[in-house]
Amino acid sequence: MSLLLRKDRPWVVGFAVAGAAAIAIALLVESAERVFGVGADRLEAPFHVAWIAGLLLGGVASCFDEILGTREFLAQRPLPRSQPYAARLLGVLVVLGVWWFVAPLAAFGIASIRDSGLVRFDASVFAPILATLVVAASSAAIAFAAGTLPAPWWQRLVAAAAWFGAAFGIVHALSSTTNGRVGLPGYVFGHVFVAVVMFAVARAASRHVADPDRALPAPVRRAVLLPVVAALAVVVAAVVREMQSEAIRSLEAVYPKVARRSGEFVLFRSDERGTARRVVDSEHRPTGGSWKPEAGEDVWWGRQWLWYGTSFFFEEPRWCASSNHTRIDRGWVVLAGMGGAFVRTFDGSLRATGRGPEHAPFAPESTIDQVGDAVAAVDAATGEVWRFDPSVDHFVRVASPAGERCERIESHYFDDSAEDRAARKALFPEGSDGKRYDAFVRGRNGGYTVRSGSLVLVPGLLERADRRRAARWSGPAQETDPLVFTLELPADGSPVTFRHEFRPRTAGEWFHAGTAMLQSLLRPTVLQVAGSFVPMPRRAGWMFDRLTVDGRRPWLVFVGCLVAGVAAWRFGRRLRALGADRATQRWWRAAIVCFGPVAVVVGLVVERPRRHARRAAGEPAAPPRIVTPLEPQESVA
Amino acid sequence: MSKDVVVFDRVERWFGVHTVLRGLSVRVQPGTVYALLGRNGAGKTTALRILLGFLHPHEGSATVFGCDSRDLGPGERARIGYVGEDHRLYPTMSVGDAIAFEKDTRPAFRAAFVEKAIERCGLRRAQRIPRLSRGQRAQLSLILAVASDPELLICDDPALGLDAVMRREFLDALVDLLAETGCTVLFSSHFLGDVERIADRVGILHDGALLVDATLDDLKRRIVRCGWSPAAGETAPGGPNVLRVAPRRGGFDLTLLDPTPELFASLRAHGELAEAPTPTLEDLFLDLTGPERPGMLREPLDDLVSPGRAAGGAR
Repeated sequence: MSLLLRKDRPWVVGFAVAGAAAIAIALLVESAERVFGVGADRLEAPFHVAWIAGLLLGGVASCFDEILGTREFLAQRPLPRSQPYAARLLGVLVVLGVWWFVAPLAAFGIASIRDSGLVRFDASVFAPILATLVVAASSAAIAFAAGTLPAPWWQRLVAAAAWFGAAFGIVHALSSTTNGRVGLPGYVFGHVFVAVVMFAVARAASRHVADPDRALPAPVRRAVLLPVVAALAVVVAAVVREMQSEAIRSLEAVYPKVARRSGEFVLFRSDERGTARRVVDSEHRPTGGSWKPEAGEDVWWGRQWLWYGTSFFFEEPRWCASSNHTRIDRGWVVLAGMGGAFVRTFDGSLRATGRGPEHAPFAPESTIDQVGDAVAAVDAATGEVWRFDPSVDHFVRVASPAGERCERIESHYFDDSAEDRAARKALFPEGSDGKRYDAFVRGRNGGYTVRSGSLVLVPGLLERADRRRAARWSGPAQETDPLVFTLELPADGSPVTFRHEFRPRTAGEWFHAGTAMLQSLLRPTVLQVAGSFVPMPRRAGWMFDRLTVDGRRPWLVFVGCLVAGVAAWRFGRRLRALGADRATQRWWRAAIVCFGPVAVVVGLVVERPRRHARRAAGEPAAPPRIVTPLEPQESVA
Repeated sequence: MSKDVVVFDRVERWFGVHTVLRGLSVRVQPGTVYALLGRNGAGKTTALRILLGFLHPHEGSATVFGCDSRDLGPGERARIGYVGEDHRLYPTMSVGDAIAFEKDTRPAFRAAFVEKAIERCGLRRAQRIPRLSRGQRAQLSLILAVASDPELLICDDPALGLDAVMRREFLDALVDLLAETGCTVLFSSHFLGDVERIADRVGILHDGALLVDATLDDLKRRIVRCGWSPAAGETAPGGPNVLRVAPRRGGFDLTLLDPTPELFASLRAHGELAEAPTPTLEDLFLDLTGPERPGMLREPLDDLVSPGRAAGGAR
């Protein structure tokens, strides 16, 4: 093993040194105080460096002998077939180990020298760093597996791209929470799982010699092709989702809009230049009436806004809320997203503080701000309010009214209304500082300010803030059918006087709706069927079809299954004509039924015509024309 | 089970729609130096790669030491030495590293022999592989291949790209090694003079089929070249014993296989017969596989192997 590592020494050493340096630089590019002081909420540069370095590492490790042209030179050695694979894997793990442990420590060491007062050696600041760098392992494993595939270069690249997109998208979706954060244990587990699976795929692939003129053996097909087809299906689902979104946007653009004229709601379409609005009837046909657009008209569109997670996301994980800081006399009080509290002084030192003299940390997602005459923080776990006491340099608890549990500190915009003026006077009895936004403590029963170390109720503030919020934001968007939906107006809670069901009615509308439906047929069948039984998932919505999810259009799902079934049958016939054995035919039929058109395309690429499989049974070959008989030799049983 | 070191048994191999080997059957006995000859694309390298397990045949089987080449394990590979046509060595290593690598990946290794051999070739341990000349790399490859004392040495056109001097040195080294070890050698080459020097037996591949599997002596004894000037009105001779009829001024150059006294008598009766000098291997190779020229008649080689072609079934 060590001997084979010697052969691999150039890339092991090169990647260990270059990758560790790149990661350390990426960590130092982020603020030392944020990374090694208060703890980072997300690490953009290290994330991108890690996955790029991982891909390069895996690719070079798997193809090193191929690049040097020494693959057969190595293969003819009397070594167990698994030993070169094991040596390469060991090399990759050594490099990843260096990246994981040496790079953060090196960056920490440099930061300690450069910004000695702002960094601290605490395991908690290393957790998000190590968790962010875990993507190096999964991306290295993906490239390693793809590089080992017994296939031409371009097919390996396609497989790597598909695995990468599918794995990163799914892990991010499954480990993310509804507020856009990513759960650290789930994320790390997901990427480690991907790495283990990919290394196993590489092991299975390494047993097979690339030979385009022979069918893959059944075990290799199961272990290698199945992950490739599945990943491509996920990527195709995401791509089709974007294509469908475009078709749906086009449909929304041609759907008529609604305007209120003289108290009446009217359906209309703008002309191409937008200089005239033509009235249409409920069947979306022009009635002949029109008017010129006027400023300040109320217009409603049948457009839906969707939540986070319905599009494919590729970005660094955000572990927690960003840290917040509030100014005090000698610097800032900083509340990290993970809950740690610090006093950052103007002279460049960072000192830990927290709840009470024992400096207990706050819960993650706790909030801090200047509230009234104090720097206050609300602990997200306990609902307690704490104020920072500069004389003792830690937070002291502020007693809450009986039965009150505070939720967070939030800002409120104070306008010139009588209610806001009254609330503002309660917040600042000595006179306002002139700011339009001010913070208050949101409790379950009221809004509070902190004055002279006590929590003081500001009457009416909470209700005012809630009304303002409701007017601005109507809550999370509800995912509905994008082709057929009903608009009811007015939408302010008063009695509905206008109701219209939007659905394709004209040729132009049917064109865009039909395009979206045809694109549905490109999706993997298994996702279509699974999606039709569940509501649109919030975290992995990009994998599912808005046209069929949650039981919408079962006929479209059925047509998709029918198309997949016909394609499977046709492809089976093709394989039989190519001379493929029954097991191969069965495998591809099942794959096409499950994954749809994407499996057909993969099958067409992988199962090439093999004419040798079609020829007649072999006749004895002609003996050489000129032969010298061999000397007789003894035979052994 | 025979004791043959190498057995190709009706091996067929296709690349896409092209047949590269059509029913190749060869047996190589222990201690034999077997030269596999053929024009470019004849299938020599494919045959050797199948033998080493780098490629799998579509039909038939290849065995080494009685083991199917598809299942060669460390035990069998330890008994095989291999020199590829491009003399691949790790360019990241020095000569010393390459020797250490070879030593550690082979169960048997003759360190003293290697020391002596690299000294004789003028190689130094500290030399980096990329700095070696092509000839030096070839010599080092050969030294490393035989250092493990293989029972079978497979060389795929090992002298390709070497100049005449380097080729001669390489060949000398090979001859010396053979004298020392007496191992079985299967090699392909385009240098027929070299083959004549060291081969016991030659196989000539043409268009994927084996035309010749004979000892050099037998080949030269059985194939006779002669000039023949026919009498007026006579046409070129034919028949299974006439391999090739090439027109020349006033007559024909004939290549005959196993000519009988009756054939010579008939030729003399119908024209004037002039015996040619004993053909070299290169002459024979050209006669058997060389391009046809206008007016030339040759026992159609395709017809010679037609049953095999039918077995291939795709032309």
